[in-house]
Parts: sequence; structure tokens; C-alpha cells
Amino acid sequence: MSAGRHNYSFYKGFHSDNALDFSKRSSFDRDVMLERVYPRRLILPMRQHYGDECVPVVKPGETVTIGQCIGAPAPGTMAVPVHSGISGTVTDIRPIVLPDDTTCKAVFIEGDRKRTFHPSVRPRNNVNVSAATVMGIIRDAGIVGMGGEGIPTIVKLNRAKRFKVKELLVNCLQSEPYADSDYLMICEYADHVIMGAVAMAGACGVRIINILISKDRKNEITALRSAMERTFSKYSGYAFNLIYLKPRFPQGYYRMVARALYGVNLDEGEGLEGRCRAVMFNCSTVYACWNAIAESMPLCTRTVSISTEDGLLRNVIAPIGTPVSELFDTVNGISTTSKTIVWGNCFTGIQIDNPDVTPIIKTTSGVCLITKIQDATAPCIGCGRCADVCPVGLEPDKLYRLINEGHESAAVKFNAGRCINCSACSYICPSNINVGHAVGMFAAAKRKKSSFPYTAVGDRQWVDDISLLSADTVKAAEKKIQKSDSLTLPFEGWESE
Amino acid sequence: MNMKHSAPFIHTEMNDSYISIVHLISLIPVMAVAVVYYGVRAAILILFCAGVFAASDDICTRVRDHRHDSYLSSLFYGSAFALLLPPDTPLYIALAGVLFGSIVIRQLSGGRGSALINPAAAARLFIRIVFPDNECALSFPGQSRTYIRSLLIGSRGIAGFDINDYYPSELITGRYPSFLGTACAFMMLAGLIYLIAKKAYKFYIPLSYIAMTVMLSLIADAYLDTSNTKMFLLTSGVLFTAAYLLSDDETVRQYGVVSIVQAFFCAVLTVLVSVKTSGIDVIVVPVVVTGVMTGVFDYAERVIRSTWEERLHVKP
Repeated sequence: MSAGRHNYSFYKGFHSDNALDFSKRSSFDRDVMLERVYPRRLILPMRQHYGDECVPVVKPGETVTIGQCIGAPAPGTMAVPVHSGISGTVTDIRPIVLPDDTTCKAVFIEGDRKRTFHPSVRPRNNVNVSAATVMGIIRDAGIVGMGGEGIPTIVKLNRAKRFKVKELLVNCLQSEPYADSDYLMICEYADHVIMGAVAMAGACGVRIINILISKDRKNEITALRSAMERTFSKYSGYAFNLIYLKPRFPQGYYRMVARALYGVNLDEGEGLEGRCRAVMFNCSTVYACWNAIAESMPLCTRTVSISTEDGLLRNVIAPIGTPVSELFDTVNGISTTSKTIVWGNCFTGIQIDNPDVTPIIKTTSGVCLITKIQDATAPCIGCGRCADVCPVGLEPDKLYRLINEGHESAAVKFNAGRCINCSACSYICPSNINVGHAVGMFAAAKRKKSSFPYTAVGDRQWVDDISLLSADTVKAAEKKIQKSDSLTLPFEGWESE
Repeated sequence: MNMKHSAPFIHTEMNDSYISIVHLISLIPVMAVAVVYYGVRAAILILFCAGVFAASDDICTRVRDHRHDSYLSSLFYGSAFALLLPPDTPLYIALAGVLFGSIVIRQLSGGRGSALINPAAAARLFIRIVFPDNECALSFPGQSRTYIRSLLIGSRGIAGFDINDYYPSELITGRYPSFLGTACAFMMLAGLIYLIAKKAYKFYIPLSYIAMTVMLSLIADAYLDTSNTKMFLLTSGVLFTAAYLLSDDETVRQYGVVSIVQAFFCAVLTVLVSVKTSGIDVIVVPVVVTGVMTGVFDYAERVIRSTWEERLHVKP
């Protein structure tokens, strides 16, 4: 295991402490860390990720258990299975519209408060598994990127294998204000993150594991370092590195990571895998993978930050599909009256009006309560602060003017299409103008969908049949095992076996 | 379907009002010195210019039916303009300058954020050109503090005044005949430090400007046999430019390489102008020209940056 490497960063953005100035007016209450939420009902959309909608495999009136698959991918689609996080009864299946305008079917489940687990959810007995098995487990567990983009993890793993990547990056760079769900999860489950990373690295044939973390996160670094030391002694074939990055927003975005670590500006349509020979997973994704591998627990819960402008912050482990209103109900002292509810974090989230019918999904890392939305207070004064923080080197003030005046071709010429919609420019604007929204919407409209790196031919090869978390799938995969393909999982206490 | 608003839902505390208030507060030390040295007429001039500038901006924005701008930036421009005036400037000249700065320079170019050049500096240059005799309306600090007749009829100015007769201690505290707010180096430094401490101004802009000015001034001293650098720095308003004119968000780029280039450019102009002339020209001409050149600097930066980014696109 190498010592930590220091001070990587892209050259713009802003120090996340600046963002937290806003919250320093009142101290965060961090005594209560990871509470578990037991909702009365779930709303489980059949599409919670980047890809296609899956098909409900349950019917109204049917009883479901924790970990049971309730939605499965149709053949030939880039969909991932959806599992229930509570036990209860399916009450309805009907289309819903998520705040991000995703329209899909959703399974409504009324909980029975019994917390009955599906028989398939059980700790793994054997520690010698093949890479193909790990891939099969991750595929069937319905795991997607939990940092926000929601790319199916199996797609990324396949892509990593295809490009023969050299490094696996674990992204622990959550830098958005009010969001620290990842950090608390790292503190609590650092071992699981490291072991998950080893399993995923083994699955895609990588031997270098780099953990990316902000250098100001002392507790998390200590936890990770201890976990790495414990694991390293068992896995001499893997190189572990802790890489410290400057605490800037949006440091965790893959393009920023490419620039910070490899000095590469990724073009549209390029991924880390092709250009940098690295594959990156969010730490929550890695943890979910380990849960699936070790406990056979599919992705049906996640850590969510519940924060308010008043300085209250709670991190809870909630079943995916929990209505936002039920999340707030679990936290004492929160009143949603006359406040703006944000689905997601305060930089990238979306305001919602009806928290009763809006569930958290696999990519929701936080919900926020905002007392007052600040409107623009003055016209653009051309101070250039937005350009100073733009992580992709745009001049948002100029683009904003061009777009508003209808000079779209000029905006394209000035690289408006490269906007990653991080909202850093809107945050820093002294006139409170939502520059980022205007430019981001324009960029999204102009950007070709095909430019996204994970739609390339070959990524859909894995979805050739309906996949459930079943023994059959794993058995089918086991037949293809080669000796070089096998890996030994670092289960706790495995040395005694 | 849920009703949506777009992110972000929080904004920096350093908003427009905050920055304007910080700028206004940073002017308080020099305003206080002006009032202490020149008495009631200084206070009236400052209040008059600030008030008329704000009122003019307000009326213009209402007439144009634009979004109502903040008064605070108008107050700042008005105050900064007043501080560049000789103490015995009559009100009608001040009024002419304020209206030129507010209407011609600021509002006709589109209002807040659209002016190419600093309205205060442009207004002062306008006064310099249209009322050249007013440049002599100087008086000794600390004398006739209650005299206000100059506000109506002006004054003929003082005679027998040579800046070289003053000690450095007098120059640094502003005890020599000068414009209202450009004399006391201590107070201008205090304002500058306050702006930087409150993060309303990046330290590298005034630092670049002052450092380059000092360096070029030393060169000018050596080769052109001009005035000595110490005297130049204390009496030419370089500190006023560094603290209050280059910190203008609207007309001077405040971030990135362009801001430093602008500061260097302004410093070069300052020394060049100082070689040829003195007085208010050394303060306002470089600032006005720098404002005009902002677009050129922006374009040059864009071209250089795109070239540099293309070079970054190197495969590992």
C-alpha cells in the first residue's frame, strides 16, 4: 500500500468551504449519524438509472419481501432489476412522472412492518468466486452508479474489461454543500468499501485501486487507511493508493477527475476508460456491490442526507422508493411548511411540490429543505466570477447573454455544449442570476445523446435475458470460469476457513 | 406533474448588495479624512454627488423600465467621483460630472453592468476637459473647514504651492493640497485591505498594479530623470486607483489572468501619463483606457486559452 498522494485538482471550481459558509451560520447536528428509516410504503419506479425501463414482475395484491425482485429488464434492453426494500403487499402499478421528467411505471408497495427477507438474501458461504460470478451478482443486484449519473455498474465493468483498464478509482469526493452521506457511509463501512473495490477490481482484471478523497476529510481518511491496511495484508496482488484531492466543487465529476489525475481534458463522448485507462465508481456503489456479493442483498437501500437551511443534517439509510415526505417524518424538528423541498442536493436537485408521491431513487443522495429561493437581484454586471469558477473553462456570463439574445451559433462556437450543469456559476453569481441553468439547458439541448460514452455498442451484451437474483444465472456464469478468472473474496474472518 | 424550479437553491453570501456595501464601507476612511481636512464643503460634495448619482440612475432605470438596479453601486460611483474632485469644486460642476457619468457613461450603455468604462473616472475626466480651470480649486487641508461658499462660486485655487516642500510624513497622511480623497495613503491602504479581507477584491490585482507601477517608475527615474518614485506613489493617486477604481466589478475584469494583464496595462499607462503630465490625468486616463481595452483582453485570453486547452488534449 502506498502513502497518500497529495493535492491533485483541476484548476478552477471553488473551494467547497466557500459553499459551506452558508451553513456555518448554525452548526450541523451530526450526533445522529446513520438512522434506519422504515417507511410505511414504497413507490418503486421501474426506471431509476441511465438506460431503459424494466418490466414489473409482480402484480397488485401480491406479497413481496425485502430483497425480492419486483422489476426485471426486458430482453435486449439496458435496464437493471429493481428490488423491494420492505416487505408488504403490492397495491398498485401505474405510471408516474419523476421530478427529472422520467415517465415510467412504478410499483406501489404497502409495508406490513414485518421486515421479512427474501430467502435469497443470505450471507455468502464460499469465498472463492469467479470474476464472472461477481459480474453476474452485480448485474442481478440492480446496482447503478449512485453518485448521480446512474449508469448501470455492470455496463461500466464490461466497458472497463473491454478497454483493459489499468486502474480502478473509488470516488469518495462528495463535495456538494449539505451532502455528506458518502462520508458517513465511509466512516461506518470503510472495510466494506475497500473489500468491494477489491472484488470489483478482480472482476474487471485491474490490480491498481486508487481511492480518491478530499484531503480535508481526516476521519474518513483514517477509516479508509485502517481498512486498507487490514485488507492489504491479504491481497498482496493489489496496489492500494489513497489519493488526496483539493476540496473543490465539482471535484468528483469524471471529467474533473481526468483533468486532476491525468491532465486530460475529456471530450464529449469520451470516458475515463478509453482515454485514461481507468474506471471510476462512487464509494456508495462499491459498498452496494459488496453488500450484494457478501450478503446477497440487492440494491434496495441507500444512504440519504436530509438537510435543511436551518443547519439540521441527518443521514439515514432508507429503502429505495421511500416517499420524500416519509423521510422528513423520521427526522424530529423538521417542518416542511412554507419551505421549498428539493429532490436531490441543493446544487443539482429539483424542486418538488408533492413529496408524498415523489420517491427517492437509486441516484438520490440527498433531499433538502430550503427556506427561501433567492431570485436574481440585479442584471449581470460582467464581473467574471462565474468564469473564474467554471470547472470546464467556459465564460458563462457571455454565454448567458448570447443565449438570451438568440445568438445560438455563437454560443455553440464558445463551447456552450461543454457545460456540465454543475451550477457553480449560478452559486457564485453576485446578482443571483441562474446562469448555469440557462447554459446547462442549452448545452443539454445541443448535446447529442449518442455522445454519452456508455451507449456504445457492446455495452448491451449482458442484457440478453431476464435476470433475477437467482442461482441459475450464477450457475450459468460459473460454467465459463477459467482458472485465471477466479478470485478470493476478502470476507471477514476468511483466514480461519 | 410536479412543478419544478432549477438548481442551485443556495447562493453565495457575497451577492451584489454585499459587494456594493463592502465597497462603500471601504470608502469611509478616505471620506472621513476628506471631511476632517476640508470640513463641511467636503461632506456636502460627497453627499451631493452620491445622492444625485443614485437618483439619476434610479430615474433612468425607471424610464427605461428595466429591472430596478441597486442604489448601492450608484452611491459608490457618486462617492468615488466626489473624492476625485478638488475640495473647492462648485456644485454645478459636480452636477455636470455626475450626470455625465450616470446618464452618458452608465445608462446610455445599458445600465448596471453594461458600462465599458468606470463612470466615476469618466465623469472626472469629463470635468477635467470641460472645466479645466477647476483643477486649481485646491486648498490647504485643515483650513477654513466651515467655508462653503466655494460650493456655489468655486475658488481661484492656492498659490505658491510646491509638493516638494512637504515631508514624507505629511504626504503619507495627506496633509498637502490634493483632491478630496486621494491624499491620505494610510486611509487608502486601510480601504484596500478591507476590500481584500472581505473577499470583495482579489489581492493580486492591486498588487500587480502597484508593483508594476513602482518598477516602471524606478526605471523612469533612472532613465528619464523624472520625479522620484516615493513622491510619485504618495501624491499621484496610485493607491486610489489600486483600491477603488480597479476594484470596480462592472468595468474591470476581477478574476483570472486578464485581471492581472489589465492591472499591468493600467500601471504602464499610469507611468506613461505621469511622465507627460500630472494631477488627475494620472488617475483617470489609465483607468478609462483600461476599461475600453477590456474587450480586447478578453478576446486575447479566449484565443490563448483555447490554444492552451488544445495542447492539454494529449493522450496519457
